Amino acid sequence: MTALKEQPTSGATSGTTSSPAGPRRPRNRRKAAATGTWNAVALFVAAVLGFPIFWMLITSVKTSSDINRLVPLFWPHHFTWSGFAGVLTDPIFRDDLLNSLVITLSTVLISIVVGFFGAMAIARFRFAGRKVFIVAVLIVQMIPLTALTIPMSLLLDSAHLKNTLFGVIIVYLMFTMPFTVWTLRTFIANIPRELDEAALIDGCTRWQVFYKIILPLVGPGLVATGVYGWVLAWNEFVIANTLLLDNTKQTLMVYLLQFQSSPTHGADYGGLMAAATLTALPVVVLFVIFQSRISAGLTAGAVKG
Amino acid sequence: MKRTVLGVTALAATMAVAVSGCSSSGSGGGSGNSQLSTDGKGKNITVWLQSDAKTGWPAVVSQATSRFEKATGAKVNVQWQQWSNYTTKLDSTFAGSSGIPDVVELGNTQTASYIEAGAFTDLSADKSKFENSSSWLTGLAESGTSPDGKLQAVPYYAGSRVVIYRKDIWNAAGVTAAPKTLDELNADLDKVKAANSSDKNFSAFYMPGKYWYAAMSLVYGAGGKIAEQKSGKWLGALSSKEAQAGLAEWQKIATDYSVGGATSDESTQDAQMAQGHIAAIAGNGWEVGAVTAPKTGNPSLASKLSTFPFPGTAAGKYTPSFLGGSDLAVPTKAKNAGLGAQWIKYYTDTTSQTQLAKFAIPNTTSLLSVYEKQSQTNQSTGEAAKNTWFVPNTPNWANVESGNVLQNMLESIATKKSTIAAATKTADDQLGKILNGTN
Amino acid sequence: MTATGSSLPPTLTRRRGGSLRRGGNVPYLLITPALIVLALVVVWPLVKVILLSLQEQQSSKRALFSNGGTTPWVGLRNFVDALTSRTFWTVLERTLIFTAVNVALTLVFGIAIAVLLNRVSKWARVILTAVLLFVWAVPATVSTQIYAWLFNNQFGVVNYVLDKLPGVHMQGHDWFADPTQGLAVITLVVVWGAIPLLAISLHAGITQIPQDVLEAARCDGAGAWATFRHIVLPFLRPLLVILTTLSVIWDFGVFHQIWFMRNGHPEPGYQTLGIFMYSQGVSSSRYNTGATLAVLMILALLLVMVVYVRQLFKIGDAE
Repeated sequence: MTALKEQPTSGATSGTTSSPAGPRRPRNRRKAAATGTWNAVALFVAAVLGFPIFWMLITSVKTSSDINRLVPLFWPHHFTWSGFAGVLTDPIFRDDLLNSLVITLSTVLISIVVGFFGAMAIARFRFAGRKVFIVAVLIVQMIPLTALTIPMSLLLDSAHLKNTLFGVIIVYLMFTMPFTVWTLRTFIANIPRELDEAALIDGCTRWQVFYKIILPLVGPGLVATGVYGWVLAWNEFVIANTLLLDNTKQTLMVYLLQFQSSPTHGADYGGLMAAATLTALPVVVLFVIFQSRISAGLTAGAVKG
Repeated sequence: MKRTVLGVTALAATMAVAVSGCSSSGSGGGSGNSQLSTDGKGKNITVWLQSDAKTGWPAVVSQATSRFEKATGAKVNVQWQQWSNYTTKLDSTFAGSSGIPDVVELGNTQTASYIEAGAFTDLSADKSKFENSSSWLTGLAESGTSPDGKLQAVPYYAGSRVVIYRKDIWNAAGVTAAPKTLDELNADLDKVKAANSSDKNFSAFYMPGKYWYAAMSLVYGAGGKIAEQKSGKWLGALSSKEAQAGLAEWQKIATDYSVGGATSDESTQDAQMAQGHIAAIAGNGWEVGAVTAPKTGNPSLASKLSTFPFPGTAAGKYTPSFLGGSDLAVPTKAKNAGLGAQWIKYYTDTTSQTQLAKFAIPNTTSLLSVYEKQSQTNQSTGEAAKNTWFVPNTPNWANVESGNVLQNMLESIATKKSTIAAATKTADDQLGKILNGTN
Repeated sequence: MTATGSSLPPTLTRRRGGSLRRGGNVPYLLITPALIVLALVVVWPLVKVILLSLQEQQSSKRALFSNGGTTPWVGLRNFVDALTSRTFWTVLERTLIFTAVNVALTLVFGIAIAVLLNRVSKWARVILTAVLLFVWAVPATVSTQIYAWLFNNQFGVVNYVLDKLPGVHMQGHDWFADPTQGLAVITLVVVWGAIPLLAISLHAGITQIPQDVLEAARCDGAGAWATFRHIVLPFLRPLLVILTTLSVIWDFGVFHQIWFMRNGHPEPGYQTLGIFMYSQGVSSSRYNTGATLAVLMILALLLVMVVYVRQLFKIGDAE
């Protein structure tokens, strides 16, 4: 999204920007050279950060005897797709993928909607209890989740929500929503209030101001927090493992456990890495889909004060 | 020798069955009432089994289930579990009132703490109705019995550890017969080590620094123990002369013959052995399969591996092996406790256990011969299963494991950060506190 | 955000001016859903944690399975026990150092990469963002396993590559024998996993900076560093304060990376508060002790963050 959208500041590629190119033209050549250097730096950073990912990917197609070699194999001798095949043909993987999607999508959508309202309140309004609300949201973030496992379990038990996807979604809101409130507050605060006011004077309703002005402008923030919530909910393990009792209800994180060693079989690292790759892919795909939607509604001109 | 022992136990087993046949005509002997129920029309029971059964012996589960379903009319719903984080899952489930399974599988070192907390149904009155209950492996049976002698968990299966070694590497070094004593083992390892001195990563015997099952075996083999109870109080016993001697032997293996594992545990030793720079490990029987399976190891080693029971201080006296294993229990809060107990009865009867014996050590000595016939490895592990040790059977033991008391002690011995005397002293202090519940 | 000097272009100052509206019922309506969620999932469990911390830790799980049963109330004794143990203070100290190092590194690299994203051509941004996303998407359990391989003493790529350097002998070096080195490797995993969130959010923040402000600065002849210090950084400050706050909270309670790097058996030298609480309280089913440590963790965090909390209020008030 934002990360991928056209940037006026990035000189060399600024063909689509709305800002007049006039004052910058004389510096373009030097800028292009600088951009080239920065591109090289970016590639280097990507290579360093990406190396563990590369290692995960090649491990997922290595045969077991090529993993953990004394002389590390940077490219497998033999490719094996049995890890991927095993995971993709496993009906439990498909069940768990669906469960993970339901839990994660619901968590993200609810926390974005609920968090956005909360963020609007503290970014745009003054009201009694505002500070209490801010601190409460902060403290919630500090509670170590592992300590809450038993109390949460008892709570859902008495509400008859244990062993349900909905129960887990509620628990996940606890750690995705506060972050959403906090981050969106900042993004909303950065939007000039004059924009809302001008729109109100132009005859927009409050709802239209929200929908037509604020929502598109916090797009990058929405995506950043959305992906954040997605990643947290998608990767959570302790709560999912404790509260979801049936195999048909468990999530992908619980699924990954089966590749570890147990008292009667060894660890299947190729399978684990294949499953982990397949678990990580949805986040990347999601992000790519979102970016095209969001950047369409986000024009550089609208951000100008 | 072996045959006679088995013959006697088998005879005892038949007698036990015969006796129980007489006494069970009423409502069952012993204390309390029989829990077993066959009235399952329209009912569903939930069974929590570890996924070991799913990958290892799913057919054993399904045959027991179908016989159970035919006899009772109930339907069985098996939910596969993972060991990771399992006690937290059990705790939170037993603390609540919904979703409680009718049968759970537990590791035999975890069982005591749940028995003590009253989490399981007392099955004492039905003990005689569980087939082979008189010949259950002692280590497993004890773990499922409360201190006052009540049967609360039924033995399921066991595992024992042996030496898994590379015949080809040992033969090349001039060692052709399995060592009979620890001294012979050391001498053989010296030869294997010398023959491979050019390989800097070579381990004649790979012994990870946190491998407490192996280290404690040597402690018990030297006549020591982890802890002992004196007038109702637990005392750590690792600093005793015998225990320290056992640890000295362990340290010799871990530092002289083992390379690179001082801060690791045993969970990766099979994958490492598959890489070819390890000539021996101490492992469970199934680990032979892990070293050679295409998914987890290297199939080309299949013909090169062999096993022998861990030798002891004198010939004919093996170093005792840790008897790991699983128990099955019926939670107190289970809705269909009677049917749960009935399912356990089918799953642990002779028919089921005879099939299970192809994959793991069955719960009864009477079926050990079936197990041993399967392979050379099973023969060694079956042999090892006859001389075993078990952790102090107290509810607080689970906290010794979760507190990593033994692992931390061993790592400091393997890395030589502290002396055996100092490390065992620290560990004994911690053991005393934890086992007496005063930490 | 109050750092709006007179040198700044009018748009920026104007934006920052003015005070919050009073909205009557509107703000309350807006926070109601959030309050419901908080009340639903936080208040009761939090109360339960506090209650647990005031009850005696018994060696048996019996009380747990019989709904609290007859566990005696012991007031603050659990807290006294925890606070008088030397281990607790050692662990706390280690946690504070670990947190400081991790947060500092995360911030430095996060900001640097966010700025970098803003500087490069579109194709380079796409590549770097894709890598960041992949990093973000990998579960901590799996990434820890990958790093454990990379830093393995015998089979690790890191030792292999370092050993190739002239004059360096790293073959067989055990990174985890010394907890300081081991925690350094774990820091790498934690920072690596945290960079994407910071880089992507901060870059999103940078894109909100009005272009004319940057243009004006450039026309005034401001260099890259001056632009960054006087325009970009002040603009990002509210976001930075929040991301720092959250990083402190996460790194203070870090669990998965240490737990899985030590394969579930963290040695004493690897115990940070998150690990300590889990192994003393949760995995050993000593939930009263665990609850006590959890409450202490929250209190310690609040103390650490007093400065930040005040900062947050300032930001709130200024806008």
